[in-house]
Amino acid sequence: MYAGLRSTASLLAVFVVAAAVLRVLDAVPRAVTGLPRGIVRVRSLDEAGRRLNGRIAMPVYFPAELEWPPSDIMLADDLSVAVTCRERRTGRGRLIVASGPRGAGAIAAGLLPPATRLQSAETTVVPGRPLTVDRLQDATGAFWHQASWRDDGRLIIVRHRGGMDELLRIAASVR
Amino acid sequence: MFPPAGLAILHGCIAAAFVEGLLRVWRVRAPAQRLALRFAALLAPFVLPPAFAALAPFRSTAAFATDAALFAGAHWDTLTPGGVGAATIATAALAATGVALFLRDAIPFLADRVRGDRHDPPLPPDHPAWTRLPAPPAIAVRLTAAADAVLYCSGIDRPAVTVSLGTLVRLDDDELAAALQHEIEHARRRDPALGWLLMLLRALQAFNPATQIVGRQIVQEVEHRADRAVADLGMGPALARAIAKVSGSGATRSDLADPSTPARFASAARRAVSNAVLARCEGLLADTQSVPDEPGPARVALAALAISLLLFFVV
Repeated sequence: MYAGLRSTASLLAVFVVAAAVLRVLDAVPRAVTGLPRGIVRVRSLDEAGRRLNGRIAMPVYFPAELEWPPSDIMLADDLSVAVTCRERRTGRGRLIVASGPRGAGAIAAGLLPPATRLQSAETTVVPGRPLTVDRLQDATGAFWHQASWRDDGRLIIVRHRGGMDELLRIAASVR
Repeated sequence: MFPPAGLAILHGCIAAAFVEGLLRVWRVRAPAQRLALRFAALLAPFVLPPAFAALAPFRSTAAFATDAALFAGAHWDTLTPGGVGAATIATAALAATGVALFLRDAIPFLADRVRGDRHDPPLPPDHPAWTRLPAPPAIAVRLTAAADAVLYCSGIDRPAVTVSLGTLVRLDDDELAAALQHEIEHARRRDPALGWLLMLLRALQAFNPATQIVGRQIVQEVEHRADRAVADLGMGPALARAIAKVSGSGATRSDLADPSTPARFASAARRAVSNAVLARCEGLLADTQSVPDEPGPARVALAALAISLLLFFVV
């Protein structure tokens, strides 16, 4: 019986060591890229579209002061996507368009930068498309406006570092 | 989701490393138990991926990879040296290694079987060399005129031992008796059929280096099992001398020599082969006692369960 217990304890030790090694190895890409678990960065909207097997929701109206192509495109394991566009003059992120998979309650954690919601309101810019509009403050203290709505079961979020009118114009043009 | 080939390689490598760790931590000496554990590692990449896919399809979801998995191969594709995912690069490199390891053994294996006995005609029953062999033989024996050291067991349904004049010349009576007993053990255990089964499994996952390495380790365990059986009969030292003589005789066709053919490799490989032969001989000379009983089937079952549980969380 003692030999059996010792064998089981040894097996458990090998199991724990193996699990720990695997966990550490799984964390290496996260540590190198700085991205949260389950999120990858892709190089183009085409690549994102291929991985998602569909079109990425993007605005037709695109302010001239923003750079194209987007500076950052991130995908999550659950097929959420976030596209960031920078302001041409300052190089700072100015527009984020994110969408989640059909039926999902939220965009995957880690895709959108953390921000504190200051105010919230409901409005309708496009008939049949009720929006929730929020005023946010990010970790650097900058203010953003955010519009979110559901389109065919998908949650779509447009976050813009600018005026409300510009945000609503961008949101109304998302296809 | 990680592609199936990459997952098979991943599971195979983890299972092989896990079993290697267990063999050392448990200090397993019983050949049967060592073989069973090696087989658990060999079969893991064949059995577990389809079983998991059928019984737990939720493992292929993004949520499982992100929230529950210990290791997700796809996460390494977020590193993109040269624009290609690191996991993809590793899978391709390992698959190429697996194929190379497979061909290294499969080509000589098949060449031996194809060549067979065509160039080694048997000696007639009245040849005086037959008097060196034990009579009546415990197994069918085929004596050939080859000058090389030939000694092997073959035949899936009716195993037989082939021995050459070259072997009879090199070994004295005790060494010959021990060497023949080694081959008889292979025949008794149907090891030639096992050899074909192993080669089939290796072919089915030719891309998997873990399958190739564990397959080779199983062959070594099979040889060790036969060595052990001969040592238990008190013929260990004689077998060790026979192994040393056959291994050192240049051209040879025998499982008493290392399966890899040193003549075609660099001196470093030849030294590795020499060291392996030396270790095998020393093992036979030093360990004259039978292996003590060890808790067998339950321990192997527990190990298989642990491997399955671990690999369940590897996607």
